[in-house]
Amino acid sequence: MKIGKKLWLLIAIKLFILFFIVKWLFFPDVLQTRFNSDAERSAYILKHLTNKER
Amino acid sequence: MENTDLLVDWSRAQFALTALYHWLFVPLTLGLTFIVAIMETIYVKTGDIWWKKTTQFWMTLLAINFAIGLATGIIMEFEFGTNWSNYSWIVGDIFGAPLAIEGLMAFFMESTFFAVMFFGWDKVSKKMHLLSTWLVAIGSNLSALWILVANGWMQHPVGMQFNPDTARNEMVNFWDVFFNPSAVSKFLHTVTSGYVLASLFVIGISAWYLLKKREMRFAKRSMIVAASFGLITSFFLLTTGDESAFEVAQNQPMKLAAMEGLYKGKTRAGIVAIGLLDQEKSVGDTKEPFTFKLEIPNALSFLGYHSLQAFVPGIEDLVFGNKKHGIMSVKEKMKEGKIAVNALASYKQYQKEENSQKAKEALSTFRKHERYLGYGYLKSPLDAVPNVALTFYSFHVMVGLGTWFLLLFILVLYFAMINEIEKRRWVLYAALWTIPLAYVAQEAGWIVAEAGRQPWAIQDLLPVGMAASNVASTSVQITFWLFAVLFTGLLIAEIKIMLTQIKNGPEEH
Repeated sequence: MKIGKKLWLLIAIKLFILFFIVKWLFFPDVLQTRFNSDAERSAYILKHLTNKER
Repeated sequence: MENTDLLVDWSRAQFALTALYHWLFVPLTLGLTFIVAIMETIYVKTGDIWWKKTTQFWMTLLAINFAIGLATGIIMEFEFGTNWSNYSWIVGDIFGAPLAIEGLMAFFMESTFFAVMFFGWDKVSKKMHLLSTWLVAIGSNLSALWILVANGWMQHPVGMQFNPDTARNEMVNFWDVFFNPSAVSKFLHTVTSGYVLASLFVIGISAWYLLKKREMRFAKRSMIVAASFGLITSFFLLTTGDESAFEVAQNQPMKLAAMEGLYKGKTRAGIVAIGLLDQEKSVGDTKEPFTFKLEIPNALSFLGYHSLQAFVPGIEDLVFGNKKHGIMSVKEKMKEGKIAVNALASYKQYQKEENSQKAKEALSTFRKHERYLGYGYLKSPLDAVPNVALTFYSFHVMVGLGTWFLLLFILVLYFAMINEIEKRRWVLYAALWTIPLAYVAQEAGWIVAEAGRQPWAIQDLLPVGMAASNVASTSVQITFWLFAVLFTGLLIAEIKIMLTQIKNGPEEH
């Protein structure tokens, strides 16, 4: 196999693993999935920053 | 769900692993693009077909590195969303702009012209091809620029204001963020280090050919270009390193003290050239920090403050305070930070109660104390101290190797110019074995920058413990090992494919 084709194949396999396995299975956007709006996300972070029980 | 020290440690370990592996690929691209562009310029100017072959050989190695390194950095963005979601939210607007510009402008420019550069030989004109090669070099460096602007902001946050309603830092002055002195010095120092690494890479592989008595003409030519480029950029690296240290002294004095293992501040402070830290030493005890050291007098005062007489605060001055030199203790900063945290909580409460007068007062209190906000989350003043041994040794490894690289460039260039390089086998062996050392120096530099900034994700404003997401530490552990396997596989692939190309040699092109 020529070097160019080998590299394209490697790129394709890597991008597939990264975006369709790693990202999809293991890396959800935590704040996007747990909350429905930016207002809820802000409220959560403000609560986190001002939690006196820490 | 949990948010423990274990979770933060695993999240940090995973980010460190990803960043360190990613950085195995990036600096070679940053520097080799310029070396290839210089070689192709010589080819276009002279019309000598040998320079075309030389350019094509190094371009193939560049392509291998580019293809395998491609998108390894995107994993850090995955981690921002999952492991560091609090951080991502809080810095969103500041980080978003530079990273978006990086994605839209620099990366697409780099990738588009990379295709022309790699596949366009004999398909576009010589001048168009040369232009593409230079644009790849400029594009890859511009990619680094925007990411390092974002990193510079973490080291020295400027040009923004914290919005207490949204809990986000909002950019108030783009140019303050862009021209942040920490970002400028970091960008220049980082890309220059890439030029030095690429020069050492070219010299090392050329040295291997000379040791094997193969491709002599090609190897000598490549060596002269790389050693000249490496020597010039080494001086620039030295200058930008000095500027970086100056910026660290102004904005991150604790990091500077850790870099030098300086526990008690002093005027006319020296730089430790070689030293062995006493592992039993703790902040505040009476033990000497070093079991052995060789010092260059006054050099740290000069490096940090550009004055031989300047006072350089030590770790203990910064932790316990030093009234004589106007240094506030961490305990006092923690008090200020707690006032800021409480004022933020009061502001939120009064907003909910629709008491605008009280909310205004709380906000005013918050603004007065917000520069110490991060200290409000520390549990003990000693939390403000980074890992001294890791920072000290990484810094000294980086500086020591940088000095060796400069010497090697001089030796290689001298012997190549008098046409005796192939007879000096010890120089050739040294050049070959310096390739891995160049990578060690790169990684050590990033360890100084990032481990030395601890405990902060954003200097003085957000400790890593507050920046981490509340996710299960086991899932972070699983992905840590997943990445360790994935990256190691990629690294093995890179080395294997590169070695095959090197063994085939430039004649194949």
